[in-house]
Amino acid sequence: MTRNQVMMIGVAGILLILIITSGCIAFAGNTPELQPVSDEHTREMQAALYPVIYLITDEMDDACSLVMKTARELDGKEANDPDVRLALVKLRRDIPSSFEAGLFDADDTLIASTEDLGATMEIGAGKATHHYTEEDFKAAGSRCIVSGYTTLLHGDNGFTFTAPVYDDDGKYNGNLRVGIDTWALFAGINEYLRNEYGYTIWVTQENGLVIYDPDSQEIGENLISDTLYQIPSLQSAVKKILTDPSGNASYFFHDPTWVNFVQTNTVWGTVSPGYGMTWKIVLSDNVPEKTSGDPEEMRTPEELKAFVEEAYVYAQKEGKEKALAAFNDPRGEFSDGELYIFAYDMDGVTMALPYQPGLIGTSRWFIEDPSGVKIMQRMVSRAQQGGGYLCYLYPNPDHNYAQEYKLSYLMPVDDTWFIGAGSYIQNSPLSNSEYIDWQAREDLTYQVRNMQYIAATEGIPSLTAMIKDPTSSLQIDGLYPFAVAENGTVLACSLKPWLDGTNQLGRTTALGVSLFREMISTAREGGGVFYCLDGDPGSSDAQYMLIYVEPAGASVCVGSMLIIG
Amino acid sequence: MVIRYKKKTPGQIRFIMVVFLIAAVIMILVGALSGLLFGANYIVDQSLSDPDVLVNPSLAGNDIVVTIYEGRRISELEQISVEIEGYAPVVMNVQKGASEVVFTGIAVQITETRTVGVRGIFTDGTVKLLKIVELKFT
Repeated sequence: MTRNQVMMIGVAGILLILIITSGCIAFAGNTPELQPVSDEHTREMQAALYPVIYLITDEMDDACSLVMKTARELDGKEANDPDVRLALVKLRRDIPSSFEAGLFDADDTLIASTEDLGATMEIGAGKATHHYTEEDFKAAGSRCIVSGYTTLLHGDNGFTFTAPVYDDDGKYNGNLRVGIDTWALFAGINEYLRNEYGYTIWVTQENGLVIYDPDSQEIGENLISDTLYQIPSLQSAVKKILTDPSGNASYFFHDPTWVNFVQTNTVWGTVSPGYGMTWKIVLSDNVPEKTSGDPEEMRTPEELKAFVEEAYVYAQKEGKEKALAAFNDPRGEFSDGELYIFAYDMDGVTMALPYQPGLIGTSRWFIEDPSGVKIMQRMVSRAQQGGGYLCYLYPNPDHNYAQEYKLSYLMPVDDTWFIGAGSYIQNSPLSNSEYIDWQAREDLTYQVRNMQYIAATEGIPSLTAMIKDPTSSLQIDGLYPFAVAENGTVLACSLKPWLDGTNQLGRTTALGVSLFREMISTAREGGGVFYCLDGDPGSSDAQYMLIYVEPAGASVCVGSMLIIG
Repeated sequence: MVIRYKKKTPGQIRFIMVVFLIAAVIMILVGALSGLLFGANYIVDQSLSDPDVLVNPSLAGNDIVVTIYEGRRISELEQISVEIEGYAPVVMNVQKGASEVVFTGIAVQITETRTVGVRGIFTDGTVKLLKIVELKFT
C-alpha cells in the first residue's frame, strides 16, 4: 500500500467518524424531554376513562351471560333442530357488536350458524379458529372463554366468546361461539370521547397486541415487538401499561398526521371481558389542535366525476403500469392537494394512494368508519355497478381529524381494479364536531336483527304488519324499518308507506345511486351498513341517512333507516 | 445375433391405422378448438385494449348510462348496442357530439351480476366491441 493510499483511507475514516458523530450530536440535541403532567389534567382524564371502563365491563358481562344462557338452551339439542338456529339468531340480535353466532361440535366443526356464508362458514366444513378442551371450560366455570384478537371464520377480525354445550347426559358435546366486532364495540365510544372531551382510546391485550385504535392501521400491531413502537419513552410506558392494572404515563409518539412527534399523556384501566383475557383500555390526549387555516374548498360532485373520468381515460390509453405510476406521484397531474386519485383492486388491495405510499400492496377490505360502514366493500360494490358516488365518514385533517362525510366518485377501469377521488362535504350534519350517537347506532342494529328474528319465528306477513303498525313492539323512536323483496318490491316501509306494494328497483337518489339495488345487494352479501345521501351535498335540503340491512330468508331484505340530518 | 420379427397381419395393420387416424383427428380437433378459443380471446383483448371509441357503461336505477369519452372513430359512431347477458341487445342512436347515451329502462327487473357488452355501430356499417364488463345489478 502506498503512502498516498494510506492517507486517503485515513482521511475517509476521519470524515466518516465526523459524519457519524455529527449525526449523534444532532439527534441528541433534538431528543425532547417529557414534560410533567399536572394532577388536574390526570384527574380530568381519569374522570373520562372510568365511565368507559364501567360501560365496557358491563357490556362484556351482559354478553357473556347471554352466551352462557343460550348455551344452556342448546344443551341436548340436535344441530338440525329449528330451535337451534332461532336461538342463534336471537343471541346475535341481543349482542349488537356481534358478527355471527355458531354452534360447533366437539371436534370444532361448525354444525349450525346464523349464516352459511360459503367456503369458510360452510356448515359441516368450517373449523373453529381456537381449540378449547373440556378442561378449559371447567377452569372457566360460569364465565365464557374469550379468545385473543384474531381473524374469524368469515374473514373479519375480532374475538370470540365461547361457552360449552352438553348432551342430555351432561357430557361435553361441543361449544357455542359468538364473534365480536371490536371496532363496533369501541369506535362509537371513541367518537363520543373525542367530541365531548377531546380524548381518544386505544385498547391492547396483555400481550401487547392492539385490538382497537382510531387509526385502523395500528390494529393488529404489537406494542412490544413492532418496529413502529420502538421509541424508548413509549416502550417504558407500554411496560407500565401492560403490568399495572391502572395508572398514568407519558410518551412520545406520532401525531395523527404521522409527521410530528408529540408528547402523549395517558391514563388506563383494566377490563376482564371473560376467562382467559385481559384488556388495557388506554385513554390518550393525543388529539391535535384544530388546524387554523380554512379547509379546502369542497369540490362539486361534477368536478369529482370529471377528475376521475380524466384519470379513467388516462388509464385506458396509457395502460395500468404507467397509470398507477402517475396516480402514485404526489406532485403529478392526478394529485391536487385534497383531491387525488386512489386505486384499489376488487379485493381491496391498495394500488395507488399518493400521500400514503406505505399502504400500497396492503388490503383495506375490512376498513370501517365509526358507524360500521365497510368503506372498501362499499367502494368495490359501487365500482361493480359501473361507477358512481359513495358517501362515508373519514378523518378530516382540516377539522382536527374528526370523522366527517366524504363524497367520492368511483369508476372501474376493468373488472380487476377501480379508481376514485373524494372531497369532504362542508355543512353536513356531521361537520363541526357532530357525531352519530353510538346508542342510536346500537338500536339500529337491534331493530334490524329483531326483524330477522320475527321473520324467522312469526313469518314475513307478521313482520310487515308490525312495520306498518306505528305502535308495534318493533318500533324504536327515530328509526324507520322496512322490508323489500329481492325483486325490488316494497313489502312495507314505515317512513314512506305509500311505497308499499310498488317496485322500487329503478329508484335513484339525486346523485344517481340505485338505493334499492344497494339495499338488496348488501343484504345478499350477508348484511351491512351504508349511507344514503339524497339531495345536493352541502345544501340545506340534503338528507343523510344511515341504513342497515340484513337478509331475512332467501328472498327478503329487512332494514331500517336512521335519519342523521 | 439373430434378428427375429413377426410379420403383422392385415387386421393388426388396420387396427394400428384406425388408432393412429383417431388420435390424429382428436389432435387436429383439439388444436383447432384451442386456436379458435385463443384466437377469439386475442381478438377481443386486442379490440378492447385499443377500442375505436372509449366508453363506460354504468347502472343508474333501471337505466344503463353509456358514457362516451374519446377515440379515433368517435365522429363515425352512429349507434350503440348494449347487450345484457340473458337479454336481447338494445340499440340506440348516438347524436353528434353526445357524451352519453341513456338506455332508459333497460335494467327493469334485472338482478344479480351479469356480463354487459357495449358495441359501436359505425357509419361504414362495421360493428366493433367497445367494452365488456361484469355489472352488479343487485
